[in-house]
This record gives sequence, structure tokens and C-alpha cells, in this order.
Amino acid sequence: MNDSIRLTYLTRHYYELQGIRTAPMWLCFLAMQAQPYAVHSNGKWNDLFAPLAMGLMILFSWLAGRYYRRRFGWLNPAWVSLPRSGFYWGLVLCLSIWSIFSIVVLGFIGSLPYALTLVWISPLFNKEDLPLRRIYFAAAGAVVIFSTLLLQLTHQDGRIIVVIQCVVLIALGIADHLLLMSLLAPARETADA
Amino acid sequence: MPESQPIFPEVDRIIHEPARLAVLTVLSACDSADFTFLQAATGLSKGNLSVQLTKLEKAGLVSIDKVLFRKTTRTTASLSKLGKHQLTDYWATLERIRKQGASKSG
Repeated sequence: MNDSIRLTYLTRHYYELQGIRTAPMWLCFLAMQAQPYAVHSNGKWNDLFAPLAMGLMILFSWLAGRYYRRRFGWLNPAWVSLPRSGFYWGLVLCLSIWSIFSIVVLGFIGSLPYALTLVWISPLFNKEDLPLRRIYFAAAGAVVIFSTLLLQLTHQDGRIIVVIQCVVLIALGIADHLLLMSLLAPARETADA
Repeated sequence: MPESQPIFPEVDRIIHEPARLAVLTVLSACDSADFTFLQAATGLSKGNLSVQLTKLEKAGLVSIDKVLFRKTTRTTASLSKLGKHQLTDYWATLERIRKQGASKSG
């Protein structure tokens, strides 16, 4: 990758690539899934668990943001990079309508994981994104969709679907963070200072 | 072509230096960026980046703001109108030279 592409991509996607920022949120969701199994005996602890997890999530997200700001600085982005694919937006619209219809009319929430997955795999449909990033988003999307389908067909507990989504999203956050690190330049020997 | 004439006379020498071009490329992809980000992205040392920013500011290509934030000075830089225009011209010139070179060699 040449320097011009690297610098432009890094600058345009700087906040998107700060993957560690979102990890506390998915860890919080994971903890909430585990809560009924771990602390079922203590009612007071049960009441405190959700606010405590939310509080820790906000604290760690803020600390992650502070780490990025202090270590790599900040910028005012010029734009938000969204997929330009009409196919993607058509799919999002159809799946959203179907999800709302199935939840409100049929009382079935099983289509929600697919709609959510389609939202977070948006970099896959963004031609501006790096091929490497599109590949790992495609792999993550495939893992979630196939495991969800399998779990629904075998009538497993819905919590497992949420757990898989959270684990995959944490892994994607780490992958984005590593990509950010690889895009940052090594110390440059420069000419005329 | 006489020997004393530069090969690419129309290339802007201020922009053409790799460190300054890196800074301008970053600034062209955002509204403004702080000193730490410019340093992390370009890999320049503090002193070198500072010198390059001053040169770009003197040429009118970037504008630099210094704001006092929690007892420290925060330096942010953004591309000026002239800078945007010059950078676009620079890439167009390079493209023109590339095409000329390709047509001569092909």
C-alpha cells in the first residue's frame, strides 16, 4: 500500500478503527447473558448487576477513548464513510421491515440477529474499505449468520446467539485495533527538517 | 532541453517534499487534526513536524491554531483554501507528467 492511500484511509477511518472503544459494551452484554447463571441466589446483587455493568462499560469506554486520544491524537473528520451499494441499502430496508413486522405482528424475534449483523458488516459493502478489513468482516458475518441459523434450527437457547454476536464483535474490535496499529507509520527518516 | 533547466519545472517544491506531502495528505482527508495525530500518522519527529508545519503555514497552505486546554497548549492544523487548491494542482501536475512519461516510453 502506498503512503498516500495509507494516510488517506487512516485519516478517514481513524475513529472507526478504534476497536477497543466498543469492546466494553459487548463485554457488558456478555456479562448480562451470564448473570442469571452466575448470581441467581442473591436478589440484591441481581438488582445492582445491570447498573454496575453499565457504569463499568461507560468508564472503560471513556478510558479507551482517552488512550486513543492521548496516544495517537484526535481529528475532526470531514465525512462519515458509508457503503454506496444500492444492493446493501435495499437489503437493510427489506430485512428491517421484515424484522419489525415479525416482532410486532408475529411475535418472533428470530430475524433480529440477521438485521443486526447486516448493520455491522457494512464495511464489507464499502468499496472504499481495505480488502483485508472487508475479508474479516465477511468472515465474522458468515460465522454469526451460520451459527444463528444452526442454533435456530436446533431450537437452542437464544442467549447463545447473543453470546456469539458479542464474542465476534469483540474479535472484530481487536482486529480493527490491530489494523489501526499497522497503518500508523514507523518513525520516518526525513530529509530537510 | 538546456542542462540548467529543471526536469519538472511546474512541480511545487514546497508540496513535493515527502514529509510535507504526508502532512498535507492527512489534512486533506479531514477538517483538522492535532499535532499528536499528525505525528503518529506521518512518523515524523516532534521537531521535524513542527518545522514542516511552520514552512507550510508560511506558504499559506495550512492554518495552525493553538488552544490552551487543561494547562497545556493544543496545536491543531487544517488545510487552507489555497492549500486545497495547490494540492489538487500538484496531483494533477504529477498525473500529467506520468501520462507524458508513459506516452514517451510507450
